[in-house]
Amino acid sequence: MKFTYPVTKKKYGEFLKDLENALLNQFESYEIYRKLCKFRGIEEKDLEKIVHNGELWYIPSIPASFFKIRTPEGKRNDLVENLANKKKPGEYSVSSSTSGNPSYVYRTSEDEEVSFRSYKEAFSKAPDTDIGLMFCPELEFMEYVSKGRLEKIDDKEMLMYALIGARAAAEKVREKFYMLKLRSKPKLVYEVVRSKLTGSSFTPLYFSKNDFLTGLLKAEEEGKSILLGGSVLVMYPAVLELKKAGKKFKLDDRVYVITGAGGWDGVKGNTRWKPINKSQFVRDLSEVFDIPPEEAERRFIDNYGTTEDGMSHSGYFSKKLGDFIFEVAEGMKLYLLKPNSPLKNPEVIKNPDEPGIPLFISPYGKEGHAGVAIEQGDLIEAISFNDDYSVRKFTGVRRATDRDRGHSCAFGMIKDVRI
Amino acid sequence: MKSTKIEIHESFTDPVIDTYESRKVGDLYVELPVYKRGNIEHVVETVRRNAEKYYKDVGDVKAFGVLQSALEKWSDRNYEKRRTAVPLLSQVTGFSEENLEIFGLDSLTEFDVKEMENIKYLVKELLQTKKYDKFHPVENKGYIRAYGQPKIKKHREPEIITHILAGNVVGPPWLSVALGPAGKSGQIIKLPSEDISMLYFLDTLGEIDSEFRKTIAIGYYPGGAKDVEEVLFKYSDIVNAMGSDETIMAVEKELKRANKKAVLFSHPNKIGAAIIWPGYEAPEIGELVAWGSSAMDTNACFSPMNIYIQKDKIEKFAKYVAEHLDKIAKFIPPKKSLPVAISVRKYKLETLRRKLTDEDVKIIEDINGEWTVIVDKSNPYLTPTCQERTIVLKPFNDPKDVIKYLEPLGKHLQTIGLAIEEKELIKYSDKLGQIGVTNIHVPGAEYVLKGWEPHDGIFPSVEIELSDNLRWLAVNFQDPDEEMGKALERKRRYVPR
Repeated sequence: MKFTYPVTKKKYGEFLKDLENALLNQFESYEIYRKLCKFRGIEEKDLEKIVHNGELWYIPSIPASFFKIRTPEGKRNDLVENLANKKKPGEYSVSSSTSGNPSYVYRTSEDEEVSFRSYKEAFSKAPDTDIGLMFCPELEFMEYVSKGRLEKIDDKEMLMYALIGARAAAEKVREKFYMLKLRSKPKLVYEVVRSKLTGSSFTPLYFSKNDFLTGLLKAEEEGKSILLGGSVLVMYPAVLELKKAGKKFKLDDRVYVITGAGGWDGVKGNTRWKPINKSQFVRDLSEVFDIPPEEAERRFIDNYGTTEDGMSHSGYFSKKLGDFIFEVAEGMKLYLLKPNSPLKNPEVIKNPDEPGIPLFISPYGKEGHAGVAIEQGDLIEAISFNDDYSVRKFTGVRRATDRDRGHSCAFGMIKDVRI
Repeated sequence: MKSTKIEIHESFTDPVIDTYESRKVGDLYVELPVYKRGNIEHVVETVRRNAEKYYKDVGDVKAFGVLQSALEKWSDRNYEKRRTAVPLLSQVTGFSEENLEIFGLDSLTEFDVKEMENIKYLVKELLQTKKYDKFHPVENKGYIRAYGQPKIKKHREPEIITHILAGNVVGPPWLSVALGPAGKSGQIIKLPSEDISMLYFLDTLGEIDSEFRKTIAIGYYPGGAKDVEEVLFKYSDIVNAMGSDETIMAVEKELKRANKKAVLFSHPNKIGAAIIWPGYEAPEIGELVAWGSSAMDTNACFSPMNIYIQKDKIEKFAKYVAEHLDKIAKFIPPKKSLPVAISVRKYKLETLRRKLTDEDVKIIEDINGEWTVIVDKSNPYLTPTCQERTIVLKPFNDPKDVIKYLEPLGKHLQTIGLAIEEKELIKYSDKLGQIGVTNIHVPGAEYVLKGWEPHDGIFPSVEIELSDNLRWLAVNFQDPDEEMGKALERKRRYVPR
């Protein structure tokens, strides 16, 4: 059964029908999902009831951590394959792995198409531009990594999930400048192997200052529109260097900034920097690129998406909040669960400002894996809700971490040892 | 530009330190004495001089008396400072007021400072007569014995003892101050970033004897601040450090660099468990297990995280424990913070992952997320949990098997809550001692510390004078049934059956 991502808005009833079918399909196809339902005391007929009652937060969800390739003890996580419907042709989407333990989500080409369209939709908050400064690796590099450098779990192909968003972004601009360039290939292979052996965080990429300045000057001198897109951890240090050097570019109303893939806490994949204050980021870029303060809320866009839920949620910057306000992606429902609510009987958050664990529900793009309902390991705050307590707009996205719990001479799970 | 004025909820002073900073600790803004590169040398020298004078003029007996009086004051719920401090400490640490009152402070009533000092005579005698490797009764209170090969090394008299405190529990860390009188030494205390309770306790010491108080400095510096530690460690004869393995390793490294002669008392990550001997799977023992696990929300080094029980009794016993955890949580609420909720949720999700991959695991959870009981028949080996009243029941066919289940984490073992027949006590305790256990209590009394017990295998009052290279074990009772009866009575004073 195929579920096509709605290009035009589907009616709520149609969404629910698609959801019911996808859920029943998931129940039938995955033993692991049936086990999860059993743990929750939910039978197949209850799934229909939950959908009919519109209390979608009761849908048993797969925690995003179940897609991690390794268990906390460092063993191979068998669930990854159990959550994949490998009877269908497809490949694994692999996350950027900030934790060093990437997620592997099996997707059909239709699933990838759904994600691709979702990213395109998310990026449509900014118009297409003449020039694009892409603060990410060249597509060629991501394809190269996808083909051979990721840890294989079976005979299926793999794809860096970031490539889907990067491809969608590439379609927005006419002339592209990639900021992270690949070193020469023979050297690259050597370096990658060496970094694997030594466990170093070597990256076979370098930041191309030349492309950075060329793109900016071209936009300034030729009066072309320009998009700065990609990882804030690559973009911000480069812009700060310009600021430090006193350089400014008269880009007037021709510049847009789209960030994505997190990194605001200073960590993304192998990249480590420092936590970034979003308001300061907007101020600094506005100063260097001559964006009037009143335009900031229109020209700075961030997007939030995860490998596991496969959709992109985008939002404009809010000066008042000092953060981005995201809209939930088309074709998806987002609920916030109370972190202390029981696994068997989750409670939904009904008030704004109360941080909750995001529960993403969508029937679209789930042909290849049991991801109709995904519990993500982040924290989010709702700005507004729909009548069914699903979130309409949200902010305050951050990793759900127990880091602030304090140090202890007692032994916590962080030191888990299993024999 | 608007200036934001931070409201300071509490200010503390120190007679020796003249530098102060405001810091957010938990939910409170407090003004604290701080150690800096610029003041540390002066602080150490002043404390050293004050201690030298105090112990020459007044003596250690008086100092022990001051300490005991302060503990007695804090054991009294009507003590004004305690009444003021508890609500604030609750905001700082996240522990509920009831938790702090019962497990952190009321338990101090049973701590006798004199015992801390007196045990050294018995230990020294056992070392001298080479009888340390047999269980020896401590009056009618319990037993001690040691493991390992003795290698006696005398220390020079310590002039300065530095304490690096951990912030996981309130109350027991205060007992560290007894090292000062034991060594007639000046003391420098480094506060953890999560707790300020020691400041209150030292205020009380100052109220009782301001001159004794001047032998101690207490302040904060960010852990690992090289510029401070370099000087502090250079002048320290003993560093008594509590914290995670990483913290202790960092302290050890810096200490080796700064002062090769200094002695380190290291108290790294610790894990506890309870063992229920066949025949002891009664509801009352479940009640005691729940009580012991609720103490300090399982955050303490003495907290039992895994409970071992005979395989065919495990399901029923899990119900008893869950029932009592639930009841206790109504009287003594657990921490409610977001990081705690996240930590517990992550742990439960990971347990769920294991359950779904056909492992024999059961999750019993509270509807408000206040406690969790996991029955794990799949992996009998000792495993840490996320703490926070989350415990794992594990099966055995024969209690002897538990020894091999604990052994892999031997160097991290500390307290075992043991429900056992008296005739088996010594033999089984010996097996536990051999693998690294240092303290044996009955279930539900793991948090009740006695002055004569070792801390992580050493007797601080002895270790101040000499290192014996041994790991000491204390069984802190003699008659298990009687002791469990006492523990049950103690528990029911607060929470009825």
